[in-house]
Amino acid sequence: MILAALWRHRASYLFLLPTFLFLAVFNYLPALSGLYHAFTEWETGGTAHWIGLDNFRQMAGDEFLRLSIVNQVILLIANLIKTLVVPLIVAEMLFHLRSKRLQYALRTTLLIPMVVPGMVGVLLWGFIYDPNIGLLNNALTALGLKGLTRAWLGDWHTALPAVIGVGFPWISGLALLIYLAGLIAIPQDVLDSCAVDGASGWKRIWNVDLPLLRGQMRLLAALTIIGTLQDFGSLLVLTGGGPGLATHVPALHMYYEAFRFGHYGYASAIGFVLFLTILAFTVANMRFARSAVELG
Amino acid sequence: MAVRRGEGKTQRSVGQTALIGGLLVLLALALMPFGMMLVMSLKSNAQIFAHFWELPSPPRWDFYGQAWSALNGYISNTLLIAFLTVLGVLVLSSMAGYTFARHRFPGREALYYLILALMMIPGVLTLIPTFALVKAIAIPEVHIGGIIFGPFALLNTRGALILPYISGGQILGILLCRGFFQGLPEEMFEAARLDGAGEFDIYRRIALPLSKPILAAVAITTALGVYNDYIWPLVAVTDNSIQTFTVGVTKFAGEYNLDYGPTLAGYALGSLPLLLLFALGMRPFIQGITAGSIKA
Repeated sequence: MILAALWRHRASYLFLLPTFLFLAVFNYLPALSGLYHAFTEWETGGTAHWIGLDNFRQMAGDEFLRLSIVNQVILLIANLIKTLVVPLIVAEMLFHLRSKRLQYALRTTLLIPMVVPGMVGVLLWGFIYDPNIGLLNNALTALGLKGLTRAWLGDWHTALPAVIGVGFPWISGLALLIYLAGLIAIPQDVLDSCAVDGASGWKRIWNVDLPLLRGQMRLLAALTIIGTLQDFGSLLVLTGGGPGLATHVPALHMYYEAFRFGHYGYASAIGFVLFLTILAFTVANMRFARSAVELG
Repeated sequence: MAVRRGEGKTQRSVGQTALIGGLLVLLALALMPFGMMLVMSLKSNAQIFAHFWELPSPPRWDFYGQAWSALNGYISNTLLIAFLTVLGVLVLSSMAGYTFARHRFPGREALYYLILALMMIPGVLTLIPTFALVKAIAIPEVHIGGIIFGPFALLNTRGALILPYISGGQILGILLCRGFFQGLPEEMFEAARLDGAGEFDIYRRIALPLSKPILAAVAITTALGVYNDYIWPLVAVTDNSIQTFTVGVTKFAGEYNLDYGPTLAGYALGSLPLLLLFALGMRPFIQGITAGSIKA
């Protein structure tokens, strides 16, 4: 009976076959493999054999990993502020412009940084932070603040703040677009009744705009958390995790363990924990969403 | 859109001027690193050291020539890989998206959620297993009837980049395409079926031509992702002749550590393809994102 039904719809299954073939090989298989190998000892050139929770015990005692988690938390908080606050302010500013043409023009030009490849942006900021010919130090000197110049990425105290500072003024194009779309979607009668009631300016922003943008903020928060936990390419290029461990993060640790030291099993375990963390945040985000919808 | 619609004459009150002024300042700050990049790419090292704040004299246009000869291999590689990836993603996403949207078959919802679940899986979990997988896809030399096949290894080939990209890229593509195809009226497809059109013909002649806007958005998102990717090409490809721009440019920046002008020129050149991409596809891209986020 079931076979008959499947045969009747064979066209549909055929259409989906290429998709699932690709997904099986390049997505499902690696995902399951990653989960499995977290529990194995697996070095380059060797075969993997099961060692249960030993990798995780090793992680608990890993000093480098512990310090990297501290950095990661700092980066998470900083990136959340960067993504949720600045683009929102700019979106509100754009929203309040009377001239629609000006709004479109400014919005488009603010998106220009998206045109530059991410790696180029990172390298440019490495250049800005250069102790000798970097923009930052030269600007400080020109302003008479030569005492403040330093090796921003080479100094243990300033490396992490410098990494956070990358992208100043942090107007994320994606966030800006999402917020602006959300603001524009606010029904005109809501805005009109606010104007009639005398709720304008800050009062309106606080009581009307922000609650209505909760969905967008949630989406961006989720994307930011997931992105920050995984992004180590820029750190690899800017500082390599240094100086010392000043900018080291768990994902970078995973990379080094696998591709510099060849400890694939241990690295998989780190990846596994990162995956669980991301999953936990995503689920929490969805729960938070459901309750917000019920209340609001 | 302005807060109050439909004003006959736009009045520039003090508030508006302040708003515009503030936005212009932010715009300047956001574009400053790129302006710096362009100006300083034409300055020799001596110029940079001695006359940091002045315009280049003479402007060293030859730096762009140097950068081009060093980077054009990387750039054209990346473009080729992006093109093939986008092709694959468009074919798979539209077929699967269409099937999920307009066909009815046993297990449809379950299969779709299986695909959605993949979005939960972060790159950090799959990085190492995918690397091991690509390394494992290798055939030694085989002699059959006097003909020599192979040896073939997927690692360190363009395929090592393209295949995982297609597989991963189709996930978001399926999401977007399904949403789009769900919005089409059923009558069109009914009429075609009554006329005796086969399922594949319906897909090819009706669904596909209508989906150009969403395909454009998928194409741009995919191309952007491929162009910007750093870690995977770093890990999967060691041959410089097939390496991508993001990895190539970091090598370039390293080699030319002492020659800043050509390095910066290289950054500018690498941005050109994306500039073109955005110039051509800005509108569908923004439409795709804003439409999707309002639902969120």
